[in-house]
Amino acid sequence: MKHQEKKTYLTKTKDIVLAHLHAYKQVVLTLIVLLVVADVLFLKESSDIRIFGILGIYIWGILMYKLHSNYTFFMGLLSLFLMYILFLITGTSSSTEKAAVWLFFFLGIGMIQRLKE
Amino acid sequence: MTILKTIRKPVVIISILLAVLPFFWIPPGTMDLGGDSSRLYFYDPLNYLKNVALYPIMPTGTGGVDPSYYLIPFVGLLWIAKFILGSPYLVVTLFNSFKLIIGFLAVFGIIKRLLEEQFSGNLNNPRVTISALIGALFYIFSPAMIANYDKALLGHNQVFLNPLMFYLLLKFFLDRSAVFLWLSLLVSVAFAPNFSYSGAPTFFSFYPLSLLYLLIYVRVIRRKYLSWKMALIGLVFFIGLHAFHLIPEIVQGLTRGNYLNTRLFDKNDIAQQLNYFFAVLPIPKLSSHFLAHEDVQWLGWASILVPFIVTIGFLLKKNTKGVALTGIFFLVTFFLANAKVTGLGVTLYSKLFYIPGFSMFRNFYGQFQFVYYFFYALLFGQTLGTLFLYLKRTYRYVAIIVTLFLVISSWQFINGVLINKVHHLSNNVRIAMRMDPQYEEMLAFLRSIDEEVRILTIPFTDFGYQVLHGLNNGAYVGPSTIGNLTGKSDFSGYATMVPYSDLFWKLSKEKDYESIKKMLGMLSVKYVFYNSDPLIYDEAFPDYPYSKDYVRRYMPNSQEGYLEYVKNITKDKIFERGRYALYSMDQRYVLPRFYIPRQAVLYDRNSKDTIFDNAETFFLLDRTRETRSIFLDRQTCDGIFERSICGQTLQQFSGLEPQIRFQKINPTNYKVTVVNARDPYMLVFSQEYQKSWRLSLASVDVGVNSHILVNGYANAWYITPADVGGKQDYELIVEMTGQRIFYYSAVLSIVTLVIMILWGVWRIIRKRIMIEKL
Repeated sequence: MKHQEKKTYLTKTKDIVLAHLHAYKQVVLTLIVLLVVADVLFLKESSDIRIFGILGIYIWGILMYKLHSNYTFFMGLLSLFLMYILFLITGTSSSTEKAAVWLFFFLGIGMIQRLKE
Repeated sequence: MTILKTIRKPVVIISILLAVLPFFWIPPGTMDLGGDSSRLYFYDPLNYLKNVALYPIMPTGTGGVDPSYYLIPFVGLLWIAKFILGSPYLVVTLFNSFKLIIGFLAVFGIIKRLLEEQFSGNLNNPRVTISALIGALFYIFSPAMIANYDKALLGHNQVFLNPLMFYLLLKFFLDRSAVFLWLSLLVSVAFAPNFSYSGAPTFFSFYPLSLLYLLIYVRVIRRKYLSWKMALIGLVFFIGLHAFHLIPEIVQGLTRGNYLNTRLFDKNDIAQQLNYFFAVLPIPKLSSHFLAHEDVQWLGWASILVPFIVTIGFLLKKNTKGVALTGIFFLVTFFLANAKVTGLGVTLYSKLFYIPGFSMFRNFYGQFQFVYYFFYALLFGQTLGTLFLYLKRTYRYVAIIVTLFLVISSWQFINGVLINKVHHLSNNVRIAMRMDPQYEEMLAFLRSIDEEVRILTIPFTDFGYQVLHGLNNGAYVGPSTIGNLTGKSDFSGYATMVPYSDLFWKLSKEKDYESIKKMLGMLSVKYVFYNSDPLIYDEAFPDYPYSKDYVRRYMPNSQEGYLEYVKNITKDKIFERGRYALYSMDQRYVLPRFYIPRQAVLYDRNSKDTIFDNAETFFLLDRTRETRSIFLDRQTCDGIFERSICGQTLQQFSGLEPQIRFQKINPTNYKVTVVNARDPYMLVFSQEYQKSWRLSLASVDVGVNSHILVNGYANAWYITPADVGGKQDYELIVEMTGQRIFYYSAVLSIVTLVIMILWGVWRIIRKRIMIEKL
């Protein structure tokens, strides 16, 4: 009986969380953008865990919000601008290179999405 | 009228401009022949063919084995071109024009074909043509394509060969037309170096990925059936046509201890290649690869134009799956050309080096950048086409801006600054040189010498180059012209004199001329070629390839010093033209290519020895004045002589020695006549030791178990009367077995070529008959 109650409680919590995530789609996606920008601009060392972690969240976002490939290409465009501005200011610095890595991944994910659409 | 209309087409106008462009790169009458393996085939293709391509024996140094049969069709065609054009300047320049035009037209054709999808088959739309033109311009002006025209090795042919083969195969797969398959096979034979072992990095970096792309594009995107039967026939023809160089290369690859075998399977070698990979890893920059022209002065800020159009192109709805497919291949090649996409990417990349043969990509960014820019150009053309679909008249302005950007950012290539460069560390000497006729007379004289001799070329260089100043302010810096063009192998630098490299420098520094003469005599050096031109040593080339802390520390530091050096090691001046002189050595020291030694100096091999200082261990042990000696390490000695003999320091060969005469049939075949051989004797062949040198008597192998290494590099056979059936007078054949494999393979290739041509003709006739019937 207790087990059943716990299960019902978990399902309800999950539904509430999902409902909130759906309701705050723009907030979640903005957060992802901010995470990418923060990784490029404010964190000196490159970290695979961070990159693949953020990418994992983004891919989950694609599945959750059924994002179109254009959204991913838009993220790619943002990364491109970021990379370009950093290149003009700092040359081929580690920040510029990190932005290039994000551009690579967003273009790649976008292309796979486009092939599936 | 029709001709006028055709000429007015932008593609024709650009092609004409590209054809004219190389004529402004180097001054008329000059040549650009340098580079790691030289491009002497442009200057004298016939002699290059004879001395480098037809036989596997290296024309410099002690004659190592390095099969270059793949050069035969290409250099053969250059010979025909030189015969028709008469001038190496025209051959070099027109070949550059050919590269540019074919590269441009092939990429133009590919993009146009790929754009069919977006434009629903309406290829007459000017937007298609302009997108394809700009994509093709981006390709030929991309950083990878415009670099290294000054030292363009054979692998550089991929600039036009990659897109050309891709275009022909695309047409074959899409149109199911065998003509394109047939043409691609012929092209592959003409440019066989790009399909050989030496061209393996260029081949494997492009073709597997391109074929995969074509298969997916044709089958999945265009939903067309593939002609597997024809593709299989093509593959069989390909193997047959390339058998003449592939089979000897495979045999070399499977021979243990061989250079090729080591590169493929040796674990230590793989570790070395991995170290190299990690050493060069920081060089490529991801952002530079995306921006492409970011390092252009004053215009680097505009380099966002191309990646911006590509990304915008993806955002547009009229974009197709074909574009996405090209995009995926673009990213795959981006990864291969950079390797640094996250730490995980680097780890994965480094694991690839454990695949046999992958070590050829140790210089990954140099090898994959060609295929990367190829797919970048296709993607750029396709996305630009998509963008143009949304623009009305403004597309023209976009096209003009992008074209102007591409042209201006490649201006140093267009005006030839990137081609006719100043030699590295030289005193403003350019690479385009006008050959001195007096040096040509020297080459002709060397060719006329009817003897099997070696030459010492001085001034001596760091590794094995020769510097030759032209009549203009230009010079050739590359592998020795003497070895490559006269057939007389020479020592022109440190690396060519293995294993006597360090010894030669040490003796030269100590001015021990007596020992130098003895050492050179052992290497069969009969002549010394001395170029006294101050423009190749004193003033014009104060450093590379005569480094201050390398060769100049041991050899004379000025031409004046060299003159004294030459006088001390030679006997007579036998030929002179201007600044070029040929001196003969004292005959008492010179050992012929085949000789019978009177004594053996025995020594213990030092495990710390390198290939360069090996001779220092044994050469100075010989205190006798006997020139006909051999140096034999005790380990080798134990294999053929008794322990009591091998334990000594000097072993005199007793018994009556036979008289020998030898005749060179070709560089892989010698006839040795032996007279009066009553006792066992040692026959030395002063050519780099290779197991594939075979000694035979009437086609029966002789001395298979007594074929040993002597003098640190040479072959020797210990022959007993029993080995030759008790005969005293006989004729031995010394033959490089690999050459026979080449002959059989060449026959197979010729037969395949004939069958392929007949097959092509038969198909054309059959098609005509069918058309007539209809």
